[in-house]
Amino acid sequence: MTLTILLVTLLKVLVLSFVVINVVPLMTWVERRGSAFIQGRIGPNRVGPLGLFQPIADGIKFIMKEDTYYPHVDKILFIIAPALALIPAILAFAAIPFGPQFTLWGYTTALQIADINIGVIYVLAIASLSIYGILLGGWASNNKYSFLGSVRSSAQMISYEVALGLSIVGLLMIYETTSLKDMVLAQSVPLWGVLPKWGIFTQPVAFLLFWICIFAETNRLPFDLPEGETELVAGYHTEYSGMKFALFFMSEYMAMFTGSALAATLFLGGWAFPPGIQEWILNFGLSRNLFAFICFINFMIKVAFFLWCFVWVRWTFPRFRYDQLMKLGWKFMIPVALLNILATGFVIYGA
Amino acid sequence: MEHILFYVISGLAIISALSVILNKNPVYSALSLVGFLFVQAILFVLLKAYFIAIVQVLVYTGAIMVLFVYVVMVMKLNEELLPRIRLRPFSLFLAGLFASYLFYIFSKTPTFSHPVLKTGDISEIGELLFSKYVLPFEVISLLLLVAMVGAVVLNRKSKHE
Amino acid sequence: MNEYFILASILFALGVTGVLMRRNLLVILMSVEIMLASSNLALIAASSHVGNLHGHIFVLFNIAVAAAEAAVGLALIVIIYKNKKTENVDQFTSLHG
Repeated sequence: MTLTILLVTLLKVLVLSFVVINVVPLMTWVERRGSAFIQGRIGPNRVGPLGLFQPIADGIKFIMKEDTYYPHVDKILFIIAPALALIPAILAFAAIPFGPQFTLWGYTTALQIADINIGVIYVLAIASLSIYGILLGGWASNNKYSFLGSVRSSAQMISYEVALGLSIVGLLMIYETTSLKDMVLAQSVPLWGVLPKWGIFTQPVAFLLFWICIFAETNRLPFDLPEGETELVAGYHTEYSGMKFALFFMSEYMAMFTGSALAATLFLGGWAFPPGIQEWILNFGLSRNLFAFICFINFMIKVAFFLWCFVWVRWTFPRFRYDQLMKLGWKFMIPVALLNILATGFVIYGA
Repeated sequence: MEHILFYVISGLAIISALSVILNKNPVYSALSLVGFLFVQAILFVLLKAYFIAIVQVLVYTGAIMVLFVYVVMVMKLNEELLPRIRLRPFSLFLAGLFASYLFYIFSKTPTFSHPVLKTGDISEIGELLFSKYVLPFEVISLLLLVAMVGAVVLNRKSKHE
Repeated sequence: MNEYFILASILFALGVTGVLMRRNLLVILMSVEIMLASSNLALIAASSHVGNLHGHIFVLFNIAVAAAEAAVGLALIVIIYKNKKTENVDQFTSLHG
């Protein structure tokens, strides 16, 4: 029995990490085709059908490229930094619920690597560690542009982490849990008879704040000042080439995926369907495993929507100026988040 | 199993603490301290203090240490000019004295035959924090405010310069 | 005697060694941080030893105090470094900047 548990858990870890890692090449394709679509171009369409094999070609290019070291870099930290950027991005997935319970070889378990009862805080804590990769990468490069990029990014990420944490507090107050699994279950009941009790309906302000903060945390446009090409060459990864650069690149896309998955879990009901539809699907008499798979697909569709939003926003908005970014973070986001908590408290107390 | 894990983790903690105090370059010291605090979070997990472990990672390694690393990196230190670390025998002697005194105190603590291992559940901690310890909690928030204002005032550019 | 207490005292002694041995202001502050963290470990160990959660609360407060200490301490170090261009404590011999 313990062996089956071990095997099933290992299988879960393997399959989910496989899914997570393969989102990265897919997203690079979506990004390039999406940007082309938005700008009225065609985009990469030569390698494979619709250019779908382009990421594979890119990957081969990254692996074959020469790994350059410059004499002025701090070699140990220069090598460690990309790994430090990638590890937290992967670790954060351990707490995200991908689907409901399923049964394999007589062992029933949820489609989630670890059901931590403080899952929300866990994901935030692990995500906060991803600063180190960027900070070290910039410092070890021993280059003005790299260092400026990493200094900017660490200040930006710390500032927006505050607003990110505060925006979630309202949700914790409404659903009265910090476990992501219970959060999903609490959201799958109706609200006012018609709407599902999703976070986006109960906490619209928090959703807006959360979503803006995720952009700042992942260093994506309009907040991609750490790598603003026009000022800093390529920011913290100026000196990196080959697979090390690819690791930074992957960590950015994985952070996007983490953010999207967290947003889908906290604000769009996670893997659960809206209340009426859930019963309608169950009426077909599906087996438990098939239902779990359908819920998994449902979750991935929600995540894909958010991922598309990342691409959409990137090719629509111009970049912020650094002081504007800081002003937005400290003088707008944090006060609004605090007011939101206060208002939520009043509503809960009144109800 | 848990015993082996404890010894491995505590070995890691001691090594990283040693590397904090023995590294010539403060950047490496700061990074070792990050590692030390992370390892300590794992020790908290072994003691079933899950919430504290997460808070440690979130606040200590995720925010305070970033500040440290940041300051160390901004002070561009020339590696050749860094002084050699001198092992001062008297400091070692004093530290040994401290350690033996602590050993003595801890050996005097009464042992409870069957300690009730409580998991650091967030709801229980919250209840305790907002009932018995509500005054210290408020005072701490005031302290943080004072520290924040102090740090800003100290590093503000004065108009005379 | 619990092995966690032994570990905490060893770590505390290492912190003391760092404070006494190193002349770099930043490393001294880091050693103080080690001492604080080792006391946190002892508190958590004592808490599970006795079987209540009061130690956990103390550690929460300790972490908040450490945050305040790091903020003010680092601000002071930055000012000292700006004025003296060094962070070796042996060279701070005058009281007026």
